[in-house]
Amino acid sequence: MRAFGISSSVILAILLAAAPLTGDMSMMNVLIKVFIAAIFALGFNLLWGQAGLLSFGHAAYFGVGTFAAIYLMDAIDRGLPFPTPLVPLAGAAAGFLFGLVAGWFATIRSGVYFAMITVALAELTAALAVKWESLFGGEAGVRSIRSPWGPFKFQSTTDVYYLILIWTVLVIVFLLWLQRSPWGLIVRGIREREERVRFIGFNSHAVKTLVFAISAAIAGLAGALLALSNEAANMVLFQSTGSAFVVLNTVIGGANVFGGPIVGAALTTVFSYYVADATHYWMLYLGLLFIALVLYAPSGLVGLVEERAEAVRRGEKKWMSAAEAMLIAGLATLLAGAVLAIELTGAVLAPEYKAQILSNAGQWPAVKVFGLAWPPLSPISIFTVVALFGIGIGLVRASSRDSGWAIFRPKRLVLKAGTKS
Amino acid sequence: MEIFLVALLNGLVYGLLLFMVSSGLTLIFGMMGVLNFAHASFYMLGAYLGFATTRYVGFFPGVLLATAGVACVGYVCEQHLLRKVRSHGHVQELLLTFGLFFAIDELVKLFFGPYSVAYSIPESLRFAAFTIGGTEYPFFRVLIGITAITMFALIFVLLTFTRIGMIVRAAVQYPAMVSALGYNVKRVFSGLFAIGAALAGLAGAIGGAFYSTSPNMAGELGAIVFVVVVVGGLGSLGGALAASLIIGVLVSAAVYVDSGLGDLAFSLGLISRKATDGLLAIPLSATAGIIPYVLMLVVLLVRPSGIAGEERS
Amino acid sequence: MTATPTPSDVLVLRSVAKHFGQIRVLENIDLTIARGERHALIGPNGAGKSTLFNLISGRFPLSAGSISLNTREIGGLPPHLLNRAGLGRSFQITHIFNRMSVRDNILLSVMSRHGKRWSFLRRGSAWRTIDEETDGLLEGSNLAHYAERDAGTLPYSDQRALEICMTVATGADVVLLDEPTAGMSREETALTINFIRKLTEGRTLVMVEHDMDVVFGLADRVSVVANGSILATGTPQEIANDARVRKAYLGDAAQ
Repeated sequence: MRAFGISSSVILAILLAAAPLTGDMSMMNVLIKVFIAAIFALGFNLLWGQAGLLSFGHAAYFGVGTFAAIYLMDAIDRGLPFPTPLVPLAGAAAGFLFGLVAGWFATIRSGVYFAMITVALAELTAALAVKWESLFGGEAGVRSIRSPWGPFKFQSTTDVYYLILIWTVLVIVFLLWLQRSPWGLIVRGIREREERVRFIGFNSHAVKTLVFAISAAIAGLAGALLALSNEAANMVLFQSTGSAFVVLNTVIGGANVFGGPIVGAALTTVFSYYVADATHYWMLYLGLLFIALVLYAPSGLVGLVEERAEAVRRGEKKWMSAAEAMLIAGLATLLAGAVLAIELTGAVLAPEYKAQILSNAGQWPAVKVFGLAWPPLSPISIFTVVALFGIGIGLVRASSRDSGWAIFRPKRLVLKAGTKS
Repeated sequence: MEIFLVALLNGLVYGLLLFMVSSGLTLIFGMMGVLNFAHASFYMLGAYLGFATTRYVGFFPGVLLATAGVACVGYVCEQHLLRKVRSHGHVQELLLTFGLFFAIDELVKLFFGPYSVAYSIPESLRFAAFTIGGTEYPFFRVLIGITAITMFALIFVLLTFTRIGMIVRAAVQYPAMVSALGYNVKRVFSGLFAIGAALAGLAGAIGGAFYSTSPNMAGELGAIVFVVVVVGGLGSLGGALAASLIIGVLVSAAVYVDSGLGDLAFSLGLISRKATDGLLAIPLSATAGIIPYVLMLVVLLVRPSGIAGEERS
Repeated sequence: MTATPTPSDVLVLRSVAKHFGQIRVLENIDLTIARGERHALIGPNGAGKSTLFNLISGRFPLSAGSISLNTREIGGLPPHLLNRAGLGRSFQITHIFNRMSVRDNILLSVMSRHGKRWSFLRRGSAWRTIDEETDGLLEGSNLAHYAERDAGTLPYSDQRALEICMTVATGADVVLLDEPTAGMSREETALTINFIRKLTEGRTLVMVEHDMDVVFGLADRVSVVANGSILATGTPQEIANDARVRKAYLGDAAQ
């Protein structure tokens, strides 16, 4: 598994480095968003996967990093001799300092208290950002520009792409090193059994505070990269959506494998980039996917693959059995039916729809789903939804006859990054 | 003086509303160890269901329907979703409730749109209950307070004086024993969860008409409810009540204070007139929103287990 | 009657009390433990032995009284500072890092002993010493063949041995063991007694025990905790012959 991980990472790195040669701006923009989301998620998972601390308010540190960076960019623009490529350090520093204070408070308690405190801290930051217009720019936000440094002008997407790619690699290397350090072992010990860690002489509160601060620093660094990419910072970044998404990304990808959050971030970002135009309800789909994964695959998609790879290596299972293929087909069909139903319902209930009916001479206009037009109440639409559900359920049941409903038994969430089992 | 009284009353009413929502959360946690991230979502659902039904069946029937609806949703969620992972640990359940919170937010946007809806108090209820000095005090605020107090009285009586209440109290302390005695403890817990949800839903059905109803409700109130629970001590109803009222009164009072923190400090002789400019010039009323969070931080510093929390080991 | 503490007493409890709200679990506890002594706390269930144990080891705060370690007041100290002051403990329910290797379990304790609490690099001669010490402890605890296995997969008595090893590895010179032989067979118990004796040589040992074989095999002195106070203190033989003790355990039917 390790060899596979290393070789695939190298290949991926080469591909990513070569990406700008295609000249596809749109792809590079997506990748930039993916890198930023991935760094954010990796920072989050330092706290969650390694230390077992679930933070629901991490957007606060991301946002702080964005604003720190934008102000530094402004200062550089006005003459400060600071190299543009090092601007992300400002985000990291801001995130670290804020995280140190916030983390000290949050880690006084553990478990669910910790989670609640992170939520409250994030709301506090968000509320401050809204009220403190002189610093956070209110609705318009704060803008700046990327200043050139040395031979680099940083005016093209390619320049920005490489800058962000290099920082992504640096963050990955840093986090891998941190994980393997002796201190990293203490952090995982706290996750495994905090009381034991305390009773062998470690100040677990201090360790947790530092881990929180580093995690916040990485989040701040990601925020700074966003500032560089967008040349703007807005108080909207502090809203709970950002915090929710980093949790979603990490859980969807998987917290137990280092690359899990990267995969989760990539999937979500790409999904939102391409699907957000087609439907208003893409966040609902993500939310439902999240719930399904928490129930039936808590170690995430990467976790699923990794567990299957282990089983294949031990000769216990094949990569995919016929029954599983049928199950996946059934689930996909069910999903298609659900999507169709949701899209139709949503379109019909939208306020604009009433206006559309009037302008369409009383006829209910068709709704575009999967590239086809569906008149909402027509027999075809209803029949298709029912048929998709029916076929889907049928396939799932047929497949379960062999594997015995095993997939529908909720699995236990286990944090085991850095361990062998 | 009358401003002070009005602010105090407003604060108490808001605090009681907060308590309606947070009592369910803290109780469910104290009994089942579940932190329901989606608890404020029940509040939001109550408001939206209230909006949907009161348009057709009148205000009070609509509120009742909304409460019942949310109770059902709570019951179903607990039975078919949350219970599945309960044996796997609190964190997984917390993540699941978080997913629920996220999904409910999106579902609400699906059915009602992403903006706030015009859910407001019916005309028939827009009158003054009494006057304080020259100010009329709205009846609806009093109604909120009365509803909250009535609910608590009912629940207190139920828990203390009825047989089912006795079973519930026992099941909370020794679920295994009560189960061995032949009672269906799982159903007791489901019922409790539904009641907690119903309380939040009722609070939403009447609160949403008064304050506002939008898809952000759950997120905004959720954070404050968490503060109440942290400040009050998880599992403690008394602590939650105290914390809710304190927060309610502080926030309400601050809204009326137009002088800034700087002016206050200046009048106390702590700083010079010049230093009151800038950040300290922001009127206290503008900072009302962050008061709950500052309170939480102070409590964490001074008394980490909350007002009524258990001794930390 | 308790004797006045002398300089060779390493652990001194004076008028210690513990209340949980209205419930007075422990009242007026006076106890002195000499350096190098092996002291057992016994008593009927619910008498307060575990609470007393948790008070000494810093898991619960005191309601009244004082506890001093080497004449230094330790009541209220957080666990990590207690450990650095020289106190180590094991738990009734094994508190090891189940999903980490056995070696890593011991390594963490040794790291702490050498003050490597904020170490981000494995550089320098100190680490060689740490590695040697860890391997030595593995050998000495008969766990070397388990070194890379997950601690949670070990047989129960080996897990208990690991925990005792970890407790001692932190350099603690006062070792507190909470029912170290709980759940063990006769053979395992005998082995564990020898193991404890070997590992705690030169150290002070305080243990909570139910098993009289262990008490007689290991303890120099025994204190009987009953009804929230110390009923008697003496050698195992003295305690075995004490009528009050028999009564506390067996009730009036004993006589």
